[in-house]
Amino acid sequence: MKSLPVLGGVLMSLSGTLLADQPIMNMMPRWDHGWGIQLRYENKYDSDLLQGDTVIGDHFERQEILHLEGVYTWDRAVRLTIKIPYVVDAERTLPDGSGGTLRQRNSGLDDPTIALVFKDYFNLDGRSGNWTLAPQVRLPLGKTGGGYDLGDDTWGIGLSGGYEMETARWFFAAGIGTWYYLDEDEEPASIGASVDLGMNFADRGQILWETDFNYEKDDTHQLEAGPALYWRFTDTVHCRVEWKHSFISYQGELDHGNTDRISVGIGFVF
Amino acid sequence: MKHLLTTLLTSLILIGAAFGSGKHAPEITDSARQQAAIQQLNGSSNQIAVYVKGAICSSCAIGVRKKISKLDFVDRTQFKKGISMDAKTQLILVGVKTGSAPDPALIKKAVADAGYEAPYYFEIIKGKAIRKTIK
Repeated sequence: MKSLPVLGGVLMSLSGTLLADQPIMNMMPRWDHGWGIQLRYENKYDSDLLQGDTVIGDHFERQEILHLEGVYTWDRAVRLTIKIPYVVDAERTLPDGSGGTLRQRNSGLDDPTIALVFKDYFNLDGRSGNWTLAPQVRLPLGKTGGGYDLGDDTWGIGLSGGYEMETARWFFAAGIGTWYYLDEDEEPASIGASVDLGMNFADRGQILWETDFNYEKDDTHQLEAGPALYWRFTDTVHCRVEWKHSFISYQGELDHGNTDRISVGIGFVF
Repeated sequence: MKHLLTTLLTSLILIGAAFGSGKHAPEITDSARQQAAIQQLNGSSNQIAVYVKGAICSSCAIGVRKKISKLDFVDRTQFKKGISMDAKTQLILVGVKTGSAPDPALIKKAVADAGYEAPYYFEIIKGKAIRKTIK
């Protein structure tokens, strides 16, 4: 089966889309010398194997990923973030080339990401927000080999920019980003954009509708969207739940798609 | 389809950016904020009401609370660690220890370290609400 080696290399091809999100919950800490850690559980289910937008056979891929993420804010303009994903369990099925089904499983470390986030905040009467610029690097430390790679096995360099604005009632965020990989045979370059709309409620909650679009150099593109809920338990403990569904899923090369993604995170900020 | 989506997202981003960077009418006037401060202070001389520009959500108070509550003149037994915030007026009530006086320079620095700005505050002196500019 000619496509199988290709498939092995493009696992988690959508990871770049989510890399623009930063701990803690994309919002904290804004204060000097603040820091935080966040643990996020993600359950991702690709219901189909796609070539373009054509479903090939009856195959799927599911991944359970624990993300350990940290942030340190020097002052409100500069913060350092690190994101370490660990694949607790990944499973996928593929055509075995002789009319049957090949089932693969794996677990282990995925590629960590380090970002230096620059923020230019503005405080207006009744509004606050910021412009963000974040150079990022993705380290090729993820598990590879065995026909089911978790990491990309290549260095990635990313740059994302964003704008956020919030009033006592409403929240709006938009961002764009790009990733370039040193070995494009392992992972094609990508660009992405996101738009988030939110509403604050009950003095400590926020409900959002988030939309992410990602396009890769091999013509793979996805549009994912869905609701998210943020809740502040205390000044220290925060949580976030989100669900995203692929409304458009097109694979430039044979890969799994049509994704549903549920993420539950808890963050501690100091 | 992808061009349509890209155009749509780009448009949304540009609209948002334009909305965010333009001038707009204030959400609350200074006189309305002063009235709110008088009401919230309720004649208390051991509290001040600091206008924290940009503090429009309750989570915004986290950093402000962390920084202001460390100041010597703050009475941490009042409110939550000495701080209470009203996001609608962007007023932060600060408890002040009996016999202590608030230091405007320290307030300004604490609020700036939290990521916001403090242009002025209100204080009750001899029963009257006095607005004090923070330089």
